[in-house]
Amino acid sequence: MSAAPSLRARLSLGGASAFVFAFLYLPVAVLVIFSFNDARTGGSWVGFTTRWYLALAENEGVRSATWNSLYVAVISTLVAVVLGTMLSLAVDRHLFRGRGVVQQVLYLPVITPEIVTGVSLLAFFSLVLQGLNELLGLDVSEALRLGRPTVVIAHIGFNVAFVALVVRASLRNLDPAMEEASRDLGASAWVTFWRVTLPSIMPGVLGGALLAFTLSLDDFVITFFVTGPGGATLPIEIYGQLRRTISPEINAISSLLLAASTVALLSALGVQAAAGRRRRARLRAQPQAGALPLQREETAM
Amino acid sequence: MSVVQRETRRRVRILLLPGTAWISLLYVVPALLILAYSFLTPRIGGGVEWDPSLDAYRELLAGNARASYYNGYVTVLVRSVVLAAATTAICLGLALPLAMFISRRRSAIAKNALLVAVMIPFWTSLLVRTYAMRYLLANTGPLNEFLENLGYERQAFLNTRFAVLLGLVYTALPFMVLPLYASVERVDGRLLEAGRDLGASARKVFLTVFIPLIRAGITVGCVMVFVISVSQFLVPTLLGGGKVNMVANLLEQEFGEAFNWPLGAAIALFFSALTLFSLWLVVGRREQEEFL
Amino acid sequence: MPGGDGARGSVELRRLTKRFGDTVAVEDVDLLVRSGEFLSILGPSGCGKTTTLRMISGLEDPTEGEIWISGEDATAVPPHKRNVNTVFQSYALFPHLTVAENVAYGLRVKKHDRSAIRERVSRALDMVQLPQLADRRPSQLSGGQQQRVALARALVNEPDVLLLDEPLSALDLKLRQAMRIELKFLHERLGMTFVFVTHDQAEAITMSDRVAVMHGGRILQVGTPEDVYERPVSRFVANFIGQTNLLQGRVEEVRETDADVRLASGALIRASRDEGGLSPGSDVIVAVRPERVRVRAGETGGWGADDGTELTGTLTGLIYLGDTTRGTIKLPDGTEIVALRPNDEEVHPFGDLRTGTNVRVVWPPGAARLLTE
Repeated sequence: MSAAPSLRARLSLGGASAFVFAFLYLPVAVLVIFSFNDARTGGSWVGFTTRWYLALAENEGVRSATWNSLYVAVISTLVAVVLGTMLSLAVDRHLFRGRGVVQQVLYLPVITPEIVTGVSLLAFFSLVLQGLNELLGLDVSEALRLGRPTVVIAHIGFNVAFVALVVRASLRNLDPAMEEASRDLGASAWVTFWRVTLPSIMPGVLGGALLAFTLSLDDFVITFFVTGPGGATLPIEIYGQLRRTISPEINAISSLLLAASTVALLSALGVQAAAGRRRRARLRAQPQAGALPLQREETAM
Repeated sequence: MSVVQRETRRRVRILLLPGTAWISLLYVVPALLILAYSFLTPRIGGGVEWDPSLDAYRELLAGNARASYYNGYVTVLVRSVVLAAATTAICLGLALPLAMFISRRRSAIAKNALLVAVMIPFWTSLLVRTYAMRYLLANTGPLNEFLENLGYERQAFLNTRFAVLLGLVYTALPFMVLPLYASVERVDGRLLEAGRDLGASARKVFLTVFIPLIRAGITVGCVMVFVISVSQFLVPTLLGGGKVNMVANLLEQEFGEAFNWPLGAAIALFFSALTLFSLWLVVGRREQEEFL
Repeated sequence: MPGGDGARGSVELRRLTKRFGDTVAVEDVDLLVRSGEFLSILGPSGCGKTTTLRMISGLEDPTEGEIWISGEDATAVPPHKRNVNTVFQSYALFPHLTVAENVAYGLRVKKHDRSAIRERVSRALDMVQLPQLADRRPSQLSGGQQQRVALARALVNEPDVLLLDEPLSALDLKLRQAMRIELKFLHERLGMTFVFVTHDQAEAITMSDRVAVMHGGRILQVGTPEDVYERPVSRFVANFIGQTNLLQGRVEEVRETDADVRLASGALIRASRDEGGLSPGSDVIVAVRPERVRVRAGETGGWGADDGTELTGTLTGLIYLGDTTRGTIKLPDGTEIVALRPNDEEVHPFGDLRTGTNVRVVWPPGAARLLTE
């Protein structure tokens, strides 16, 4: 990168980096290790056990929260993938009035602090539910409330933006001549999308889907404000238990959540890496569109 | 306009509408609602009475101290900004050597492995990571156990400003590493060599050539870290235990137990304006979307 | 054989214009491509030839004007409904499909039945001599092979018109020359209308039935290769196609098929001309192809009636180019004339002439053409 730095500089760089990595991983490593500790409290290692993990299976709160988390994550991911891909196609492939505004809107979920989103959605959903209840004449016992459905709606909100951003990166790498060739050969816009565009951006779509799934699984703050009875996701459940008890069960469920996110991340990276390899191989073999014209040898004077 | 162009327009509209509408409905309309709410009166048990009032702003700006729970609102806001600024500075100091270290690796495999190692904490649940920090620092936790074994006294790490700062840095650090790395990676080494060739010492080259070249990455990283830190909820809650409250705690309070939604709305607006203003000062109107 | 307009495979462009914001890419183009002919649109980068081609294919909408294909107004018809196929400059082969699947794409989209598809694909691959590569992926092919697959993919649909957008520009010289012959052969065999876009004038000249020269969004001249080469109508066309000598002068006497022009060097020459208004005293340019220029020893003045025209000057250089020798002659007023003679005989084409000697420059009647601009 630069002219040879001194040994001292290199060592301190390496040392600082090691320190940072240790800092990042130590607390989490401790958490995971102690989830196998055979002691209810305390910071000393007593013995190895898996009973806390087994206890999780009995824990009704954890079981229903896990189910809710998966439900919310799967549904919000599916909807977000469809809506986000559509958005991405429209913005990337077409010029239209208001395109700049749409792009800014796309970034709103990304840059807005979660706490602000949380409270504003709380206000918004409450108002809407109140209005709906009045409109439908529902009394207190049957009233529509905050709960799992509002969580799903909120999660779709931010997932659409993230999926759109990831897919847009994929679309940028796609040679537009490909889609033109498809239309030239007789395929309508819809057929072109299914047969040519989608297969080509599939890595981006998958990556976006995995990102959305993980974000939904891990979300706390927004979920905290928009959820209600029966809508507890895993992070909400963990938080609740944190406030009440101290138990290595919390370590156990946290470790599982950690493992799930890591697996999702590595899958997303794997998909992107494979796609990157294929794209590089393809580019090596194919000429770029608009390559510089070769010299006119025959007409040399 | 030809038939084809009309078709295309229609198609674009269909593609755009659902996604944009969903995001607007969840991020634009509620924001406007909050704006409206800040000018209304609270209803007992939550919600608002549609009764215009400036009470919320009065209470906010008067900086009323609320007994026993926390200090005045302005104090909390200032504390949040100060903590976030400190976090940003510390993260920058920690992330830069790491970004440089990764960039220097010659083998692509090593680079990728290290980047993945940074990304894993970045992707995992903030709740889990914050809880991990709390577990580690607890009075009866592993760190204190370890210290005791070494002969030192147990320390009350938690519920202090130190714990909150530590937690903020811990949470935000990966958000600084990735944009910094992207910038560092793009630096043309020959420019640094030119600096040395022209007589500047390594330190001078670092300060006058290298740092300016990675300015974009520094800016993006700092912005992201600042925004995430200043609006943090879990860290002050789990690591501060109510003693070191930040803006997010205020909001939870007002939208939760205190049921003063207009005040909460006013705080949220004030806070958002403050954040956006400081960002605009620092960043201007630059596009950093490539980093996101 | 070429048919009139309205016939299947004819293309007619009427007043075709394309604007991108303030830029005019194609301006008021009128062109008739006869059914079954091989027409090249030739011009430098940015002249609008690719835009014109894209409008014929439907991938670009004209701002003004009409496009008639096979006798019907296709201006508003979307690309997938036109019976026109394109061979793209970057080939645009689908990376996720095999060669055979790529070629079959257009047929599958139109829902032809499987066995018919298989048969037509195999014939198309035979036609481009790649039957053995049917199951490979595009990334596994060389540039030349990819180009032929792109060709097969377009041809298998039996379009009325085949459009080719600089398909040979990414190939190396030898391959390009071979492909030109193959393409010409294919055209003759299929009898399909080919519209070929290129910036390479040698390509256009060797392959086409007719050439349309484009510059600045306008068509400057349309004609057979010989027309365009021997009788260019403008300075740009004369310069763009092959090499040419351009001599400035003023008209002295005007006749029906030729005119006398006084050159800046003082000499008087006779140049042939097309119809059109021309008055004595106007400034013109006379174009003479280097290969028509001969160099003789000695000095004479005035008309050498049997030899057409002659000028006097000094031989300033002789360069051996392998198959030809190139001589430069400087006229009294400083203008340089280039003479190109083949090295096809035992004797040196320029004889014993040495550089620095006075020489006569002559050319056959009709070799000097008047250009108005």
